[in-house]
Amino acid sequence: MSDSTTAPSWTEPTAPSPTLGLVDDLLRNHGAVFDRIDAAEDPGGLARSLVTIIAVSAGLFGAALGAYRGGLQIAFSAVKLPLALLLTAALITPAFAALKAAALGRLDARRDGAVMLASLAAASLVMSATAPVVLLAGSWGVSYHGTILLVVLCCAVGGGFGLLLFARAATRGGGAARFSIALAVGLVFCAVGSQMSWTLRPFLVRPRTAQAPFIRDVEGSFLEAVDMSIDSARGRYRRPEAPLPDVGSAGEATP
Amino acid sequence: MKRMPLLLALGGPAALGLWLATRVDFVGFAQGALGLPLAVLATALISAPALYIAAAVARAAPSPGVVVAGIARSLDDAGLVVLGLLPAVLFLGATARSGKVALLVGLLALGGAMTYGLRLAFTRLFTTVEARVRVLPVFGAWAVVTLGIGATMIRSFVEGLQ
Repeated sequence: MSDSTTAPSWTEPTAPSPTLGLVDDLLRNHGAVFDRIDAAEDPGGLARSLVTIIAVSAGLFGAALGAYRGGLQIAFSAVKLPLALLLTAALITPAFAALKAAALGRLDARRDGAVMLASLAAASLVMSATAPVVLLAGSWGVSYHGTILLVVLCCAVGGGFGLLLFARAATRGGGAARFSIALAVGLVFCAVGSQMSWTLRPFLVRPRTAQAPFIRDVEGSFLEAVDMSIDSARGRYRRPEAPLPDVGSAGEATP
Repeated sequence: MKRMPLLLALGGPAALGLWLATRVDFVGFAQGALGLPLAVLATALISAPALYIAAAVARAAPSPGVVVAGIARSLDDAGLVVLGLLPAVLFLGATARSGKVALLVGLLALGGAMTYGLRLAFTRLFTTVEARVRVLPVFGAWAVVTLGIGATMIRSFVEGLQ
């Protein structure tokens, strides 16, 4: 029982959760994030917090994508979207570390990995904030292709925010070729990220699809699909006709 | 970061060449492991003297020893970047339907790494603002020609195997 001269215990400020504090810093205090990475007091704990943020926020956005079709697709997309981001980070962090090591003469893979995870965590948080928009589009019956474009826009907004954090981190503190490093990593991320998303598709599935697979068969790469589309736009077709919606998922190149 | 000169310069392209040998039908293991490093080394040997001469005419050249060391260092940097890009290249090549796409991705990675190495060489060889301003057009032209020579050597290597 609390004394009348002291405030009740439920009004006492409690120490914020480290992960929630990190969420707040990722959204509005990038300097604090960089300081925490550079201090390296608990690199394992920081990495776990960032991976948790990515898993939860990208999972929420993925669930919103899956909700367009409903059913198992909600769980499939909630699992695949964080996986796509984390696998992409794993593939491009060595390139980032090598580019910086070549310019600075020292390897700091721990810090570079933390910067990569922080960038993706920031992007995931902003993407998850757009999940209600995707859910609203589904409930209003927006067309499949219209929803695709909306999803692309949501990813662009989130990705842009993550890119901003990454660019600040990569160009921080001066050093040779820092803008070249940021540009090179951005290009590699675009290539690997698009192919990773292509490999793990589908995320958004047409509601009338009878049975959506967890992952489609490998039908070529994202670049090959773009090449095919360019040929098609020029009137050079590689198959007699496009697959019909009711034929099934094989051969249907949908995201 | 102390390292043996040219170990990364040859090791990076050799690792990339070995990967291409597993993915592209017409590239053998020995050809992949030796062809790309030899192309990189031959390009450097052909073009390095021209850089020193052109920079000297522009009155911005460091000593010949510094030029040689700088180019060797930039080749090592490029080789390190090739190794760093290997996971991404392996993924993109493995998920492509055609081996030619894997070859294209690998060669783009090599070209990008070499361009980055040239970028670092510029700042290391020409340390003052005055020298950089004076030599920039010359270095730019030399870099374009050098990359062209490298691309031609690699193209000949690939076409010779098909």
